[in-house]
Amino acid sequence: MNKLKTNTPPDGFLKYTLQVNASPYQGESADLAFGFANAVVAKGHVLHRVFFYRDGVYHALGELLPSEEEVAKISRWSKLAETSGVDLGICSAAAQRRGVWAPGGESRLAQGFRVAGLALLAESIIETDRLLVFG
Amino acid sequence: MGVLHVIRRSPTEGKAWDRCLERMAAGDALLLVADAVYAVGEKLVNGRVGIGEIQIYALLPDMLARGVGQGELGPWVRPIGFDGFVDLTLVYERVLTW
Repeated sequence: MNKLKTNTPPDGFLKYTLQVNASPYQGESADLAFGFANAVVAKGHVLHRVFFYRDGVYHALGELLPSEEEVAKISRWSKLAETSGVDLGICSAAAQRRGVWAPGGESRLAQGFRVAGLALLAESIIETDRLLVFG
Repeated sequence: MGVLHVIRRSPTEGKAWDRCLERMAAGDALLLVADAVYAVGEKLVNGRVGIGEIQIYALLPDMLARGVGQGELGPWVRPIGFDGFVDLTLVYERVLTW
C-alpha cells in the first residue's frame, strides 16, 4: 500500500479525521466509528487519521485479549491501518492517565497505534475536509 | 450546506434530543443511530423546525440489531447503511454527534 499516494484524495473525494472518545467496550460508539471508517475507505475517500481520545485510548492496549469468538474490537483497527494506511493516534495525556502508555512504553501498544497529542488532532482537523466525533 | 446531526440516544434518555432539536435549523439533517432508532416511528421534530424542513435518516444496521423493522419507519424517515452515512457527510459539511 502506497501511503503517500493514498493521502491525497482524487477530485470529488474527501479526506476524513475521526475522533473516538469511547472505549472499545463502552456502548456502541466504537462500533459506529469503525463501521463509518470502513465505509469511508471502501468508497475511495481518504481516512487520514483516527484520533483516540479520553477512554478511546483503551483501543491501543496491545495486551487486551478478547476471546476469539468475540468481535475483534482492537485488531480490526490494526488491520484497517495496515490495509488503508490510516494513522491511528492516541492522546498521550489521556493514555498516561489511564496507564495505557508511559514514556518508553510504545511496545505495549497494539499494532498500528502511536502516541500523539492534541496538536496532531488540531493539525488533522485543519488538513482534512471532515471531522466526525464518536462517543 | 447545513449540519448533519447524528443522535445516538433514545428520546427518553437524558437531554440529548432536546438539545439537538433546539440546535436544528431548516436545511439540516438528522441521522438516528444506536438507541435513537427506537424513535423511527415517532413524529420526531416539532416546534422550531417543521418535519418538511429537514431530512431524517436512520442507520439500518442499528435498526436490524434491535429488531426495529423497516415497516415501523415513519414516512419521513429513510433507512441508510454506512455507505449512505458517508454520502451524507459529502452533502453536509459539519457533523455534530449528540
